[in-house]
Amino acid sequence: MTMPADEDFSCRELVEVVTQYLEGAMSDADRERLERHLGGCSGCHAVLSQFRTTIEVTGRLTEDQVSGEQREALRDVFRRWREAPSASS
Amino acid sequence: MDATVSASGDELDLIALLRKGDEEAFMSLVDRLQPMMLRVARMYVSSQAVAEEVVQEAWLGVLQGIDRFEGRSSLRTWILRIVSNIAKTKGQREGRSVPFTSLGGDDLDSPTLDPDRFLGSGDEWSGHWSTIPADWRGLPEDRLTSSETLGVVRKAIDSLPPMQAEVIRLRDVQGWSSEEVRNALDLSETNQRVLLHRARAKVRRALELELTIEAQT
Repeated sequence: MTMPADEDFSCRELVEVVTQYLEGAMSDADRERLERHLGGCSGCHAVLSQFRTTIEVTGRLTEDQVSGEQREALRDVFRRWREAPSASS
Repeated sequence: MDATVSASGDELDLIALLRKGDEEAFMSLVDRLQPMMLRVARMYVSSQAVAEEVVQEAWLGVLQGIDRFEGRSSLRTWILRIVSNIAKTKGQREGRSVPFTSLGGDDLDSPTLDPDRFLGSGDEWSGHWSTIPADWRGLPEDRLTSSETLGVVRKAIDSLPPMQAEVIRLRDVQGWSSEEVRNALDLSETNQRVLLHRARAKVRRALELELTIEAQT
C-alpha cells in the first residue's frame, strides 16, 4: 500500500465520511483532500468501492407485495369515497 | 442547495386521474406505497393491526385532500407525511412515547468499522489500515446477485433500528432523493445522512462476512 503524502485525512477518518462524500455534501476543500488521499491509498479505494457495491446490491431488492385482503379493503375505501367524496370515513 | 422536489410529471398525471376517480390509478399507488406506509405507521403505534387502521385512514385523507394538493412536494412525500402525522397522533393516544433513539438507534456515534481495522495510536501509521479491505470488484458478478447474497442484505436491513431501515429502503431500494426522504420522514439533512451511513455500514459489514466466508471455502 502506498501511504498518502497528505496526512490531513487518516483512513479511519475517511470511512466516517464516505456517505457524506457520496452524497456530494462535502465542502470543495474537504472533497479535494479526500480525493487526494484516495488516489494514493488502495485500502480506502477498496472500501469506497465496497460501499458503492453495497448500494448497488441493496438496489436489487424489491419492495414487499400488498396482501390481497388489504388491496380489497382499500378498493372499498376508494369506491365509498368516489360515491360520496366529502363524507368522512 | 437542491432545488425543491415537487411532483414529477408522472405524478401529475396520476393526480389528475385520481381527481377524476380512476380506480386503477389509485390501486397502482396502493401497490407502490402501501408497504412503506405500513412500516412508517408501525414505528409509532402499538401493533400491526393499529398500523393497518392508520394507513387506511391515511388513504382516505389522501383522497379527500387530493383536490387541495398543490404539488409543491412530491406526491409520495406528501402521502408519507399524512401517514406519519396520523400515526403519531394515534401513538400519543395509545400513551406511547417513541424517543428518537428507539427509532434511529443508539449507535449513531459508533465507528463505521471495527477500530481493530486501523493501526493504533502507538504506530507510526496510526489511523491507517492494519489490514487492507478486500477488493470486491474481482468477485464474479453472480456472487453479488445471487439470492443468498440478496437474502443477507434483506436480513441485515430487517435487523436495523426502524428509522435506519426505512432511510436505506427509501434511498437505496426505492431510489428516492435525500430531500424527499428528509421531507417524508421529517429528518434534518444531517440526521438523514447519519442514519443512511449507519445503515449502509451495517449492510456492508454483512456483505463482507458473507463474501469473505465464501471466498475462504
